[in-house]
Amino acid sequence: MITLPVIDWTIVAQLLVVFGGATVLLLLDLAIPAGRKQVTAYLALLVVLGAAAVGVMHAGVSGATFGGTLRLDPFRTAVGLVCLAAAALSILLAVTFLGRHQIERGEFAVLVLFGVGGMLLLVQAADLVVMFLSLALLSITLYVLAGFALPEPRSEEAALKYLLTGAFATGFLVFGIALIYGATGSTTLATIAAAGPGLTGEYRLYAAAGLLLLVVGLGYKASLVPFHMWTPDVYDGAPTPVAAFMSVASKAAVLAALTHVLLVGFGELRALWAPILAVVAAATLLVGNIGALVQQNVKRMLAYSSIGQAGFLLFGPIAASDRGIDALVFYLAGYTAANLAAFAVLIALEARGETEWSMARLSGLWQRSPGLTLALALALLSLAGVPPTAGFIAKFAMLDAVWQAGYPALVVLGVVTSAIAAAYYLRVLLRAAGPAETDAPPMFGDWPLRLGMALAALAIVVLGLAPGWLLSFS
Amino acid sequence: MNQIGFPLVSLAIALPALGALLVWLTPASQTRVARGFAMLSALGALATAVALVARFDASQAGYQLVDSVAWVAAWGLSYTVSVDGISLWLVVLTTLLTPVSLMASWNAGGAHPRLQQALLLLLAGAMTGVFVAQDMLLFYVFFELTLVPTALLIGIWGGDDRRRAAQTFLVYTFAGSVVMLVGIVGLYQAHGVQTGIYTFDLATVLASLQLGAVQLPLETERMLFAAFLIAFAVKLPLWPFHSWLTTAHTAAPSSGVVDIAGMVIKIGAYGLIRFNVQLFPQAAAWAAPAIGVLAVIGVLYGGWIAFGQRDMKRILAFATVSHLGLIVLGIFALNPQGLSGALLQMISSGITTGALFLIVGMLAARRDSRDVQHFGGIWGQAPFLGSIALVMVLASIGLPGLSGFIGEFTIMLGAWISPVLGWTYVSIAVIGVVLAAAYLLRMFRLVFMGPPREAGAPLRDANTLESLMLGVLLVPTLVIGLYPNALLLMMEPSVQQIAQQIGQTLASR
Repeated sequence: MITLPVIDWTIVAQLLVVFGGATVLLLLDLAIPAGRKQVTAYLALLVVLGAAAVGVMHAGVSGATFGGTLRLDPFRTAVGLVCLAAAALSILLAVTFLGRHQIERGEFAVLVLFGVGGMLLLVQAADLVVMFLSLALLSITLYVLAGFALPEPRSEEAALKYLLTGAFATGFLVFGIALIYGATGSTTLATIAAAGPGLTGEYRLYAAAGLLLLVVGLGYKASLVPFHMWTPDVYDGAPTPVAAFMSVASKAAVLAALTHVLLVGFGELRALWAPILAVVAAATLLVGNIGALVQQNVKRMLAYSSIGQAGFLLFGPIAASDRGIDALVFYLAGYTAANLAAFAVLIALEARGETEWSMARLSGLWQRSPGLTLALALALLSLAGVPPTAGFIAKFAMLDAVWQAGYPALVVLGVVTSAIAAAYYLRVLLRAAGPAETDAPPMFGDWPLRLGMALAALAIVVLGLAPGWLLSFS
Repeated sequence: MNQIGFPLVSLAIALPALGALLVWLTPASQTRVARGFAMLSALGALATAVALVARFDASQAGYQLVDSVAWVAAWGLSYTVSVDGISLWLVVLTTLLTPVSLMASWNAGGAHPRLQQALLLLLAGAMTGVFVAQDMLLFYVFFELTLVPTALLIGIWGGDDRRRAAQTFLVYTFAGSVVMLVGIVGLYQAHGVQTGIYTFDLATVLASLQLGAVQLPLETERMLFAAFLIAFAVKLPLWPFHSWLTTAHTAAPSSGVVDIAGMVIKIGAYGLIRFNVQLFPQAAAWAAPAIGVLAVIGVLYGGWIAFGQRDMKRILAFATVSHLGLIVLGIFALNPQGLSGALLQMISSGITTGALFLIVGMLAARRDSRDVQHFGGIWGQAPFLGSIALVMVLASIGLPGLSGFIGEFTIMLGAWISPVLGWTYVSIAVIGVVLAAAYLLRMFRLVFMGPPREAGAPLRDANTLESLMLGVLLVPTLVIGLYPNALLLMMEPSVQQIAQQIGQTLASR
């Protein structure tokens, strides 16, 4: 007879809320008449807030369950909350956008719920198989979401590209897990770590090769260079709220998983992976920021900028210290707020049938809407790392952590690419402050969008001025 | 809280920021109310600065009137502001120029007056913050905070080339200043690793470096020195990093509001004294001859190019490059004479160049041109403007009895007797001083003297507001010129202390 392990419900409570809520909502949605699908979105928002409340209640909890395959600790809780906040804000940004673009369907909010559930599972996973499952879950929902603007060919193209590269990445993951299992006899990170020092000869080689394949697979999802090619096309083609959600939430979850794999599972092989990761971070910073510099399409610019930001995020695992982990959480929170605020401004200016998001459309913005310009300014200044925004503290925390870890070259590179980044972020800002160059595009200022934008902007300022509480939990 | 139990220094930062907020909140139709709020907060900041001078104990060298609150305790990051003999007069200069820049903004009129005043006030608050921050990261925060308002002021109200100029300004100065971040991280980590105390507090770091609690290897010290140097050299700008400054001055609004609010105050030179010279004396002495060469090139180059310009703002912009070379020469003389001369010159050149920028703005508004050849013989028509312009030109070229002379003279003296520079630097730099007389007097002659060149309506003399603006700047020009000790006395202990520490460090190794 099979004995089930004892389940610690506090650790899975958040997951239960999200997945239970999503399942119920999927059925409930059948009863909600078409044209009223905003109700589904608001119910989904309630589910996300409920999950976040559970997360806050369990803020100090540390433990494992399901035979050590799921874990909860303050780091996981914090990253989970970032994902939930991203989901909540994305739903707020999307509510009226979908109606305006005539793609309002109840499944949208449900898919976001399943997606964020997958992210929470990925963050909590302490086992490679669970990681694989949760990655598949979040990827499949994101494939559908990317193609959500169904008759729109660009959206279809985005979904297909994302699906194909995603499937490719999944292959790497499976091979990696298989090799690691072959070498260590386990897929649980703690067991892998324990087996590490005893590995000799070819077994050590298999484990190392498996790890690198895992990094490749996760690198696709986090759009690290050289696995970033899909990012600009997918962000450009996907509905803007979906691009916003993907650019922050899935990145946060994948980075957390990568950190767990590297630090928990393969901490012993740090001498192997840290230099490789440093090179990847350097390449990501350079390609992302130089790529963004030449874009004229704002959505593609934000896509490249998110690649550049991913390079900075890698500093967290490279530093492999408490400071690095603190910095990673703070960076994720600040980046999430700033990127969502930037996308919110785009959403507010995007009418149905727009194909190209040219930078000229932002020109003269502040004469028409000081509020939108303020939000855009805060977002871009934070992404560029200008004080007193969250982005500055985040960048500094990362630079500090990685210097402490003995990589001054990465500090210099981070600073140099920040200077490049400032050029393209502030160029947009100056354009918005300058005179109008095109016919004024229509503006949409419904309250959910405004609320989402205001919350994101507020987070940028609060995290920038009072960062202490989020910087010292580990 | 400090010894007088009142956050006086913080008030000097907070008042303009508060004023900016009030101006922003005032309805657009209430122009007078907005102006009132703006001017009140600026005058409040000036009054605070005067109170600082009154409260300042001139016999002490260290930081006084400290306000300190923990910001990120886990990092040892704090909001610490205070003044010493180095920063005191720079705060006064900043708060003095703010009301003048507001008046210039009223006088010039133009679109979106509320936003312009709010940005000017924000800039003033950030500038003051730069001079009083005694925490490295806080300094960086204020340093960066000055960029965005300046860029927006150029980008929104500037001339034809404004967007490109604003972008050049932002990218150039941001790229320069982020390099400082490397220096801050490096110094912070070195201090933390060696003493176990992670702190950004300048006084603590300085003490550790001087007492040998933190020993920087020669290479490291030079690298950190270089990181700070790049940031400040770009900001200054030291030749050959000057191109952003001349572009920015040229594209900035003709009225001179931005020039006087954001660019004539030399936070880069202050940074050199506060960080490069004070923290890394060994590296400073090592690099001084090379930096001295750049400074002398700047003096000559700026003067030479200024001589060939026709646009009056470009003349003044290149004159600034020339002045800055001299200031840097004074700083890297690394002795009390050089340092106090540089400080005095920073203040004097801020006032005189600022006044000249304003006069150019007034002339440009009257004739819609800044080309010297479109003017001529206007002294008779605008005698007040002409007289003030002459005083400022003479002060700028260092006529004894006016503010420029004593600064220039002490810098020359300091550089001459400096063990790291010497008389060769001075004898070449002095050519630049001659050049300055040539190009400024040439400008004055072409604009104000000779027969009137252009037919048409005679040029109007200064109105009340304009007279007031220039009058405010005339007073310190005369006071500093006639009684420089008023300033020097307060600087003396701090300057002596820095020079003494440099002397000890150099002698001990």
